[in-house]
Amino acid sequence: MTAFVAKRIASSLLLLLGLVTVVFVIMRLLPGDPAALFITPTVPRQVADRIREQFGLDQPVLVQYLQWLWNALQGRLGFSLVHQKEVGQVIAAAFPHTAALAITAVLLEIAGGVSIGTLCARFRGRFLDRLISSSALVLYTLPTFWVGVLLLAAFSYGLGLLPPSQTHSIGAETLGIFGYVLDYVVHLILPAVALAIPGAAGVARYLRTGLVSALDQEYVTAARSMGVSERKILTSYALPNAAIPLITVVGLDIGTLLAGALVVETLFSWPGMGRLTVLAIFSRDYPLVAGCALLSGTMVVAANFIADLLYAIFDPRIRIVS
Amino acid sequence: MNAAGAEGKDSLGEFWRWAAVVLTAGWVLIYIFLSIIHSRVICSGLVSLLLAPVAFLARAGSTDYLWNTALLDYRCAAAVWLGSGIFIVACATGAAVRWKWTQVFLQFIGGKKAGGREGAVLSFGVCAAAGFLLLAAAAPFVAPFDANAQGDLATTRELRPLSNGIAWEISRAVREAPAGEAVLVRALRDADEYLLHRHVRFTRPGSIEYETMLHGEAGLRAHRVVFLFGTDAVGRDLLSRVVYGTRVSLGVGAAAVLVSLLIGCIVGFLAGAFSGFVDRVLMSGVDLALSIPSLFLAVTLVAFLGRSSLTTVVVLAVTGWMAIARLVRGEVMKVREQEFVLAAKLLGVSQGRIIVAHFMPNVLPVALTASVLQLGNAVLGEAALSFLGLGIQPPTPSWGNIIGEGMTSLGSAPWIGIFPGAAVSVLALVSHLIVESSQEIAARG
Repeated sequence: MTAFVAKRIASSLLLLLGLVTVVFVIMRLLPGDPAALFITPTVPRQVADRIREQFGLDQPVLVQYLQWLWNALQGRLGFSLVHQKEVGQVIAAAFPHTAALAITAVLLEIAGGVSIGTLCARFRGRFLDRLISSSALVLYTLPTFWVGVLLLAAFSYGLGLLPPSQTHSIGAETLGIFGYVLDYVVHLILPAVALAIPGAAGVARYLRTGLVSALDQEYVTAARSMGVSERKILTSYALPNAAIPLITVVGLDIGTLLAGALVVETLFSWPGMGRLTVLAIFSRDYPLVAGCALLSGTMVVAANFIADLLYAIFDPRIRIVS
Repeated sequence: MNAAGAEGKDSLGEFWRWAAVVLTAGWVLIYIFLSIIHSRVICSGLVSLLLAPVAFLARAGSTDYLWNTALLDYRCAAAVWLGSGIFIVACATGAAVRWKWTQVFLQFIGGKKAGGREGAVLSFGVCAAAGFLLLAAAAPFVAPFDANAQGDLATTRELRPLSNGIAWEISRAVREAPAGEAVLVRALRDADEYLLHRHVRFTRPGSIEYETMLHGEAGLRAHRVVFLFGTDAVGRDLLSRVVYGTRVSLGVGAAAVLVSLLIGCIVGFLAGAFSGFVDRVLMSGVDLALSIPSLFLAVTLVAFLGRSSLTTVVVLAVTGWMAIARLVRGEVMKVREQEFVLAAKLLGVSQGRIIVAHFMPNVLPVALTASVLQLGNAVLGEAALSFLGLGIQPPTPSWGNIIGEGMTSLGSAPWIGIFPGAAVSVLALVSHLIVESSQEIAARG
């Protein structure tokens, strides 16, 4: 197990190093250097040189790279030009919203996907299963932004049940702590559901396939011949085995969502990482873009690492083979 | 599948088979319908298509205008329209006289060729994809109006689907033909002029502009028109925009997939052929590229490359080659171990010949299947980028930017976002159906 973990950590770190390097190279390939934004033709030469020196641009590229690496390690990602704050601070303000959205979406995804997948496997081959399975395929391929548009049109503008954008209503501060949190949750529902629907359909399809093949295994036949009820076979024999591969699927989803749901966050004006990135691109705030890219890559790598670890804990075969 | 899935197999296969047949019949009906209602444009397009080469070869007058982009567009559409017409007629006559190839083709359409449910699903997917391609290629004939035709803003903006209006068509100026102009050239000029002057302006009966136009300028013809999908926030016909958007979205997607197919095949082949160090380096490159969510990578690249159609293609290609490379690598490694490759080596067949004759036929189908799925992903990616305002820039319509434009009026005109979104979803579903069914057929052997 230790060797397995060490190997995984090493490869994750290597990936992160590659990521940091790629971001550095892209930043350097930009026309002009980061200091060019401050240096206009009217700026005196000495001041321009001072600014270049401050950014470390008078150093050789290798030194700059190592400096960038060292700073990135310490979480110093530069200075956001639009927000006039450290990139780290800007990201720290946006990340909790993304985390709340991602966690809610993943919980909904697991709850919906597992219950629908189990239902399909329970009635496998029958009309209900075929109906749900084919609609799951349709839902799985739906683009999230269209789901978002439909949800907005139906529940927000059509029925007027849920708020269309932002995290809080105007004047939410006056509601007291309970009302404030409730207001946040109400705003969270639509974007989370929009993200969860295609994911849940994917989980359901995956789980159904796993369950159906698990139900063909010999231990199920053995359990059945010993008179264990079909319901118990499904939930306590087949499900735990079929659910293990879901760790990878859900892990990937969590990573992607924590990186920021670009489209859905923009659609619902949710002030998270995705929207931050899009706004940073529109305002050409390159240090912030680089910071967001680094964080998103890190989230995905970390989520995959944790998923691999959990997989190895639940399925010992993995750590023996590798 | 397994025993549990097998019982319902026939009825579901039957469903997909019928769906494919109904879909094909639907396309034919739409084709005939559009041919009738747009007969004037289509005839002019055909005349232009057939006579333009004659005029060019005969050097009749100035040939500059022959290369007008709008005219080229109409001529390409005319070629596609003529081609599909000939195809439909050939199928119908072939079926009537029981010609062998038509029978084979119709069996394929019905899903009987590949057999089973998967065959039916595959043929359904292929029919649907063919329809999308026809839409894209013949957009000027399918779309009722120009994608950017506008009108009286006050009365024609945000009209509901199926609402009606008036389109003023600026009628062709009647000109005296110069003396001695050949009949053919005059016919071409007439056709081209009609195509180039298909400007319309939308109004609604009762509006001030309608009354002015009705009693004012001569040379204007009014048609009653129905906006099938409604109009958008600035009064453009949504159906026309979605149809022209098909062309942009599919074109950008296809270009991106071609590039990623190229990158993926080269990287996958190198990694599979030279195992060891090269393989490890290339595959960690693939892992690195996969470690960033593809849309995030695309958006970040757009930030540094600037916004344009070319950037969109590049960005989608760069984010889409990894899956293809992985599959190609796996397939190359599998083929490399096969005995026929060893036999060819022992017989002294050259390296290049082995690659062309032994690797390509095995690797290409896998790569092509992957690229169909990738096409669906690329169209989704394009839609997402354009939706964010980072892809295709307005006023060029693409599915994504129509949805994006619709967001500002989602409360009052939800259909602006709904129709192009439905198009994206259907295309994504179709690419999934094609890929899943062809993989199942391949696995069945």
